[in-house]
Amino acid sequence: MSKKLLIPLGVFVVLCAFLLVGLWRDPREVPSPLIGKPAPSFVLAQLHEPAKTLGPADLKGQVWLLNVWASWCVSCREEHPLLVELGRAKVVPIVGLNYKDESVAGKRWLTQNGDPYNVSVVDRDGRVGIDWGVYGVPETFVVDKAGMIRYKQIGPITAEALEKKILPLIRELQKS
Amino acid sequence: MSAAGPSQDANCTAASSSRLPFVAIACRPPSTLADAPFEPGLRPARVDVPAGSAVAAAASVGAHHARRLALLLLIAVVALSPLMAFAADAVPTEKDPVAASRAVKLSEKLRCLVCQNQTIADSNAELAQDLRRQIHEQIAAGRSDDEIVDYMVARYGDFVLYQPPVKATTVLLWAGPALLLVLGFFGLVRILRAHRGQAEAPPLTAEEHERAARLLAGDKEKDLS
Repeated sequence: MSKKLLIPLGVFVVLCAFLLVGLWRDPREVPSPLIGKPAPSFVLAQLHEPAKTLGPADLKGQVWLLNVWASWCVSCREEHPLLVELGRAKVVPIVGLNYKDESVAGKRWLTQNGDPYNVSVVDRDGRVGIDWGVYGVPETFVVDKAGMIRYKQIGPITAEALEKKILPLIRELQKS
Repeated sequence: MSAAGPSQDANCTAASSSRLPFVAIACRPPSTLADAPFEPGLRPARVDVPAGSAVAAAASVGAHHARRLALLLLIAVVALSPLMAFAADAVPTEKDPVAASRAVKLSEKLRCLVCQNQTIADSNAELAQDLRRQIHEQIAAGRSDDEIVDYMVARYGDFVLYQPPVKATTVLLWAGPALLLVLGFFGLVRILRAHRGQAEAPPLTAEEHERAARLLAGDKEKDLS
């Protein structure tokens, strides 16, 4: 084979390599620019006790999870058993952000499916969601003791993501 | 901003929910129609209502004439629905035309992260509506265009921009087409040069000149030898 023919073959192989890598990447997983940055502050009313509020400032000094959920969200049901299990194990405080939901529907949903959250707060119009860069439900953030966002799970938490990424990260962050 | 906006959006939602491992990215709160703040006016989905009831009324009467009338009404409503969709898409919420056009320009620069190939101006996804609301509010609060764009980038990253910024990581993206053009130009020059060498035929020998002269004189038979 002449050398000239090798050039288009080389270009083709490189192109194939790029396309192959592209096959395994999910274009919907947009990396968050907030990772490594301070968690955006908020003060929101609690779902079960609307007179009380909660915000990231109240959780400083501990590692915690923020899970964005809603009663209208279908794939929240998918991850919910894992969250309930995690909540029962009391490894880490879990704060629920009840995103663009009716409080009554949200409370009913928790009664039916189990409530893994230490506290759920109400983001009725989705403004806090925007501050956190939420673009779909569910999403889950890991926040460290200093109040920095360290990890974002886009879409439902899977058993694999929990065991291989989230739990090891939480343990590491709790040690430091 | 197009007449096809809302219907495209509906397609997008359907397509993404079937493709996604997590359906809820395409999920919308059930109140989408009820409390959409920036989309007053009719949506195509509502078009069915008057037409459907007209058909039902016609059936109960049972008269052929009424049924035909209902059909005409249905056709008229369906035919007009793109106009209604456009009207729903284009209604500005500001009284101030300058602020309204700024809001539209800005929302055409920003990507909707739910329907990723639409701008937030085009998309009717819940998130796009919320982000349009943010833009309107921030314009009203006197923020500059750059400040609003920075606000979006801080939350959603460079991906939210339809036109990616020039950075170390995007140099190839920006310079790539020019680079390819230059490479192609040099390649073309090389090929043309190589061909020009071949195209220039060597000068004729005396023998060939003689033969050409014979041919031109029409002496074909001798040439066959």
